Amino acid sequence: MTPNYEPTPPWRLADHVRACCVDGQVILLDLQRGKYIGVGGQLVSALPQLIDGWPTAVNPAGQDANASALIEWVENFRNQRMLIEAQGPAPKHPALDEPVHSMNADDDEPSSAFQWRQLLRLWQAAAITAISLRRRSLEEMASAVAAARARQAQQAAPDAAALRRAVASYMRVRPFAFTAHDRCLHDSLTLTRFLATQGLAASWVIGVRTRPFGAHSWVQSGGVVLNDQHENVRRYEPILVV
Amino acid sequence: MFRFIGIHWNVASPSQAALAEQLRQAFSVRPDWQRVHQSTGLRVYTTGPSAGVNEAYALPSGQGVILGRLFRRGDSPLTSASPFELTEAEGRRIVHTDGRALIEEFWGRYVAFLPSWTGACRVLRDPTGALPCYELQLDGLSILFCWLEDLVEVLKIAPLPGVNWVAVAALLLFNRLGSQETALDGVQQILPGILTPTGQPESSPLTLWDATRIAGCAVELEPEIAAKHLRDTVMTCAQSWASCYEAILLRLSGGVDSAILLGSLCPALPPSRITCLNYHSPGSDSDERSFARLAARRAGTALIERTRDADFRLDEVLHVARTPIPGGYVGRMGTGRMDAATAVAHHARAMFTGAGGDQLFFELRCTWPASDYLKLHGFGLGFLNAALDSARMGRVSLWQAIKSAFADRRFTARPVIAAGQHVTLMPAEAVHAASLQHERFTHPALRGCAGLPIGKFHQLQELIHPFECFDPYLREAAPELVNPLLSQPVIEFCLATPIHLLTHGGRGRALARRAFANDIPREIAMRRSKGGMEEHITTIFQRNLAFVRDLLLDGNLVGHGLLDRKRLEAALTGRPSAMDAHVMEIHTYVALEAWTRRFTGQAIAP
Repeated sequence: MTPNYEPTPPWRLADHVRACCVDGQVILLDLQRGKYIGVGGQLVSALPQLIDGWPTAVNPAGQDANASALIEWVENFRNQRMLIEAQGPAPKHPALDEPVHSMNADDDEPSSAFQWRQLLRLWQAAAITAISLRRRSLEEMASAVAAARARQAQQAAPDAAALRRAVASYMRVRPFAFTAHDRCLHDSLTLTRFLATQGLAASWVIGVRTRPFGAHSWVQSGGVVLNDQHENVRRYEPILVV
Repeated sequence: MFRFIGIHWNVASPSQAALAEQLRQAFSVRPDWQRVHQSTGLRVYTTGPSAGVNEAYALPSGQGVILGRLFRRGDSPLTSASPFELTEAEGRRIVHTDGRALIEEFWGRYVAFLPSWTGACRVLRDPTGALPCYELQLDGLSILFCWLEDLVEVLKIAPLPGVNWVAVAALLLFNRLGSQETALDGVQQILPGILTPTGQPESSPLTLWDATRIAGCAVELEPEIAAKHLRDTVMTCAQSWASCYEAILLRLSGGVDSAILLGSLCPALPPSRITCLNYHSPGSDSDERSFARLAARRAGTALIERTRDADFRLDEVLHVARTPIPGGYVGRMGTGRMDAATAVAHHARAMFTGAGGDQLFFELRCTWPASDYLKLHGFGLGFLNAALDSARMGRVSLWQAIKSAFADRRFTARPVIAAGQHVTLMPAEAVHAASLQHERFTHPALRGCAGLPIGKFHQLQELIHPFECFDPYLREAAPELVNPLLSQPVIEFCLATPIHLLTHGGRGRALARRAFANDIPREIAMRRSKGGMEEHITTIFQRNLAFVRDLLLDGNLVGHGLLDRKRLEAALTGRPSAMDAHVMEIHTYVALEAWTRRFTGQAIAP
């Protein structure tokens, strides 16, 4: 017997939970625990009626979902504090432009002098990132990045040339600081901080894919990917945009 | 489709002579096959020849024949455009040097039947292996061929050899079969560059083209000079191949390699002779049309843009031609028929591609340039520059690049390194059993290269195995495939050039980008991204999921313990699973399963 759905979903995702739909499945990211959870099958189409902000549309096929399975699922996620009562609308998260270009700033011709100041900035940003990754949750790091971005939003918008110069110098001095290979989260957070020290803002993104499952992080400004190739990041569905 | 069959028998054996006569009669009723050579104990037949493209060059005094297309080293492309004739002196030199003169003075796409002082037959396949060559023994008689289906259709040979399941397991694990052994019992492949006696030989194979020695040359040129040599070599080879055809279809992906190929052809060919073809499909990395348009506009050539067919039905692969080594269909999925139709519409007999560029010009995100430099030159200022290049290429710290370089000094070439990374559905015991066979399926050139630096070894490993040239799905309907970058002179140059020179400045393909900077659009020369078709591959898989399940779950691969049925079932549910296998891996299994069914007599599903 299907449950008697109320017009307004009674639940919503907790503020520290993000969700996206990939390949017919919903992936949840718990920012407090740094954990990904996949939801598939009939639940995907049945849950929009119960959860405000669920990333799929209501599908009549979801009416056939087993009612007890639904209730059990909801209870389980409530107990994990990933679902809360929907008192008011779900918070809106920043949108992300479709990534259509790659900056490739490391191809720029280097300036004549080695940029020691930039290297010092990079070392500082990398050190803070390394400590944050060890001691803070994704939620705390996301809050810090969002706060920094809010401060920069009060300043004049940076021009594209300044952003490019900054990213180019980051790429040039990065080999003298740390390894970015297989450390996309570290690299992206460091770049975000590095840019912030120069009054430049960009979006920090985490995306996910399936078949096989994978997560990736990058930095983007408008439709331009700063520290990766846009063809690569387009394989991932953004789940967190700061 | 140019093909050949050679029959070699011991004239002193009455049974072999009788069988040879029986096979001769099979050809006598086939006007589409011509005998191009006959000598004591040897007959060679061909079909599908074409003047100036695929020919038979007789050796003096009927001592043998060379099939395919030859170019003389040092000839300009203009000279190559003239009909090729092997002179008497050249033919004698080839015979007297046991084929060595053929390797050193010529290049091209060929299989040569050469005599020996004992009168036995020896076969030499050109170092690129562009024309396949296999040997099957039948009651002591040797049949040499390039297309197995001809043995069924022309020679009426039945039953065909059975599947070599040990080789199939090795193919799954190592992704290739590098030795003479194929995936069929009793069928051997003639390895490129190795003079191979046929039948019951008294002599051993003789390596005439030593890729390992070439890779160990480490020719250090100034980057400017190396770039010029690379450009000259690629242009000569590309234009020489182009001189063989009135009209060419060129697969223009928008990537660096196909742009280099187009840029190499343009100085010599009127644009009207080249039609470029670009495929795109929905997806993050599947649409490079903007780059293809840039290249075509610069060259002044026509560009046809086509969408990959997302309705491609996987059951079509059940009709794959029987071949000694299974191939794959992913690269042709949704495009093969369009290639053929477009080639016909534009009167193009051949399709040129930029295949091989990744391996030749070195496009790998890694730290090997520093490792190779250190092994060749030791520590010094040059090493620090190479380490910085490596750090940029590998996206690692300078310290990590230096550390890796010193660690890689202990590298000893082991072809099984990283084998099995992409076979997540193969049972552990099958992986283990197959890994014990690695020596058996390793190319001989890779067994003796312990002294090569790590980067150069990996490049050699990628280049030593021939690329597929026949389409086992479209067969004769497919246009002739020509990969000019994989010509012998280009392979030799790139193998002999140190990795740190190929990637000088910290970029993959750095030397090639520099060499062709004035021949291709700047946007393509600076491209770091690479096109793909991941979403197309996934779409096809999802639309054919039911067929894949039916084919694989109770198929030959599961039956022979090469696939774990339980894990496979979980991967094919269509739901998220912790046991998700990569879609490419599953397509590999589909191709292999379909191939095995052609030999195990299972009914082909409608």
